[in-house]
Amino acid sequence: MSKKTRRRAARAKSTPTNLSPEVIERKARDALGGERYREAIEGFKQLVKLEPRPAWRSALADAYVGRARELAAKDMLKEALAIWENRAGLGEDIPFETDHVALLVRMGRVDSVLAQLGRGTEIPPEQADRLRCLLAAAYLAGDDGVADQLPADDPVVLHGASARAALTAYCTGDDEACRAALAAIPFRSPYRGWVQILKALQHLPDEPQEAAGLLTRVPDDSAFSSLRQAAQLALLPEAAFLEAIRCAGAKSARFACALRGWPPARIALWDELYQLGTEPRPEALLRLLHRHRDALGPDWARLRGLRLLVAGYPTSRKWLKAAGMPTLSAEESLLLAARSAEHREDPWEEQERWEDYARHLMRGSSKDGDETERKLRIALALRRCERLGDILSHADPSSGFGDLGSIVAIKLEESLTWDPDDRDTYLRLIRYYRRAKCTKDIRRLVTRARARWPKDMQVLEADLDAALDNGAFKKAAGLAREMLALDSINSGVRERLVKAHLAHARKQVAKGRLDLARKELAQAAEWARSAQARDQLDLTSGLVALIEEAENGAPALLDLVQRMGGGLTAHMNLALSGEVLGLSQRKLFGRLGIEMQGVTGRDDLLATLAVLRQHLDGGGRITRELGASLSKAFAKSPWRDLSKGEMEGACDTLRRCGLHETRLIAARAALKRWKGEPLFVLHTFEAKHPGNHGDCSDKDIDRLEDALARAGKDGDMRIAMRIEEILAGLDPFPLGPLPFAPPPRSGRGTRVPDTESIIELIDTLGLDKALNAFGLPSEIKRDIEKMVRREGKEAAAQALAFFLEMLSGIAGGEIELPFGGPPTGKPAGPSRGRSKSRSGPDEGQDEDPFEQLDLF
Amino acid sequence: MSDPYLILGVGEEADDAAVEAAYREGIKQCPPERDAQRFESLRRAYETLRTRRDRIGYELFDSSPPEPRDILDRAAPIGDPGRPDVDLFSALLRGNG
Repeated sequence: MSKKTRRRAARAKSTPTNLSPEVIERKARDALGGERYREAIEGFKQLVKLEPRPAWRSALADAYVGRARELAAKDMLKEALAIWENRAGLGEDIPFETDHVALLVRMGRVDSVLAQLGRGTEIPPEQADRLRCLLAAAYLAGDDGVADQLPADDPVVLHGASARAALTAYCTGDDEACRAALAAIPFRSPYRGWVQILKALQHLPDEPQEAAGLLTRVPDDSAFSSLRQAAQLALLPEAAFLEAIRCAGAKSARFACALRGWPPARIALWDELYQLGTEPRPEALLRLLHRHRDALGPDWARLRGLRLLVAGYPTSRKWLKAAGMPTLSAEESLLLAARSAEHREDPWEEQERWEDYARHLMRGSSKDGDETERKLRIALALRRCERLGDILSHADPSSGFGDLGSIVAIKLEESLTWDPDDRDTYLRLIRYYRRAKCTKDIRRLVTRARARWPKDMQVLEADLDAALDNGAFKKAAGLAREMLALDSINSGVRERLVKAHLAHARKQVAKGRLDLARKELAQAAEWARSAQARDQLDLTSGLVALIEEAENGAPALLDLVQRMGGGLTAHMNLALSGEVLGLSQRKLFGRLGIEMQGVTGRDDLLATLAVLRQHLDGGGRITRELGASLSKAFAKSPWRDLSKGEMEGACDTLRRCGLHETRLIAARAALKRWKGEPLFVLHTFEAKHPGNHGDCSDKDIDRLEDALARAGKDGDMRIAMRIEEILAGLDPFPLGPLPFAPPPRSGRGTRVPDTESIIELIDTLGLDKALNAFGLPSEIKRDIEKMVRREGKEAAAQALAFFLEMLSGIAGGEIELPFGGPPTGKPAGPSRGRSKSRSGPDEGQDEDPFEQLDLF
Repeated sequence: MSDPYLILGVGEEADDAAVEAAYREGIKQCPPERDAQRFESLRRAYETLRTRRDRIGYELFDSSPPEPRDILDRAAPIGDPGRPDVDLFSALLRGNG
């Protein structure tokens, strides 16, 4: 017995024959609904044998349709046709299905279709149209039998010649002939879908949108729909196209690829890439690159191959052998090691690896290749660490030799000997040296940069900055003028020019050369555009007049103050302008016979705070005398009129000015509106205990601890850490356990952090800041950093914990500790273990042993 | 596509002038109002390869793995849009997709 017969027999056995027709019908309908067509066919066949009810025959026909389509989709065409024939055998009343005819056409059995069509009147006109459309497609596909068996006046025959002519013309690239042939086909022709497709194909390369529009006119059930789908594939964007051709049939994909200009080699390569999956493994991709190295270009394939090795370096070196590629050269190994270091994001290691690479190139000579390229490579490698991490802009120039910033600066300087034409390197170094106040280095680099790029705005600006830093205002004004000659609408430079003249005028006033000061102010006035700059100049001019001739100067100055609004903003502007000219506020206001005006309203308050901020940002200070006057002036400020954001800004500005009383009033006013808000609790605390937190009460600490808990809960880590720092600073025994009961508890009470806390701290703050936070001496810091690089974070944290523990033991013994206490890790929950009795830190504690995080 | 050489359609030996010419030609053919994405990729490719220093920097520092499309474009670049032959039309018309 064959397998097929056995399966049939088994199916027959499994089908119970003693079921009632109702049950069989229910099961068969369920199967039909669930697209289990074979089961449905069995059931309905049984029922039709029992009684040929029209409903059962119709359902059986539907099951045949489903099954036939299923088989056709699997390319089991003969089997599908057998099913269609079974369906047709159910009776002539069973409606004709286009898919059946389409299958007949596909299998070249046009006779049967023609016979169907020959029945003429029995077929509804709509279905007759679809049949003709199928025959038209068959005729176009080259089936000449169609024309032989149809009457000469049948549209399939009548328009067939034009349709074929259009196809030939299109394929040979004769668009004119193609258009002419298509024009001969009427709209109602069975070839209308074909006309739309060919027109679309002609538009496709240059007018894809037009082509897409034409293709949408071909319906899904058209005999030309598979051709339409293939053409639509070619219209997809590249990424979608690459995805779609994976799912499309081979001929459709080839058709679309041909339309897009894909050569066969590309299609074959795409198949190979497709086999590697959506995220190919680097080693598999490496093998593919090596296999196709001739087509890709050996250098291109090698370079891209090296990039793949970064993923698993150094193990990845053996992938080369597996792929049959030559092993790495010394230069490639060093390059790979440097790229690999970048993946670990350790700037020290990056610096060292790129330097290794540069040193290797330095040992080479021009014989090995292009000398200019070698020099550029060396320079770029030396600069890489800085470009990658922007180290110099974050470095602390005061850290001294051995700090990463200073090493990077040395490497950048060295890079300029290999490639002196990189403007960006000059600018980075100049900015760094400005922060380090290395005047000679700045001058040296600016001079070299100016010689290379005399008209470059950024270089000129660097020179201008350096001149202003040195108080060379005359030179600065000259440079600003030079810059404005190059870019006359540069408002920033205009503003700086005004400031330079103003600063120079003040310098002249200090020297007693009021005539020269007036000249500078007149020059500044030529460039001043903003109202603020004009007010500043007017105030300074008025003050110069007052110094020169009090009688005439005073009324003019008073008029000016009134013109500026007469409020606190105007008075404070006057006071600040006076102070930079050496006129104290008390003296100046005394000569003018005025007093510091109080705040006149919300706008005046905000404007005053803005002026104060600007003054501080420009490096200005608030004198004790002015501070006292401002405290009085702020006394009746409308704090309640400010929004939360404005209040935050106000408290911060008052903090920077050192106006603690006013800040306390403002923060308390804010707390009335936003109860328990951690930021304002912090401001209240700091303003209440400026400089020394030792005199705080239990209640103050409780409030601070509540604020800490709330900040932690709200996820405001910035405020939480700041509060934590203050609380840690209140602990009189930062390094060891309390010398008296109770013993330390977990959390903040334990002062020597364990390994986990240290790792957590490193993760939170980063290695550099975490080590700073422990107040470690630089040589120990360096050792720990090395250890992290070589042995990992955990080993370094263990060593650090041991080291701190050891020091803690020493601290409890005989010697004085070399540095302050470590902070705790992330903010802990509120701890009520602290009390006033434990407060009272010594002077060293107030200095904050670890790096203060700037919250503001 | 991520390879800036392929985006601009220049070889690795291209100098500053060739890179600039390719960029200008590219944006002329594909201005931002026509295809913003293509324009942006042209601009980025140009920034990457503008000077010799940039080109060496790209070669030294770029460690992104090659994209499949880069491999395809490099090994078997797309030619001019073509026209399928009659046989392919016939196969699809018969339903043999």
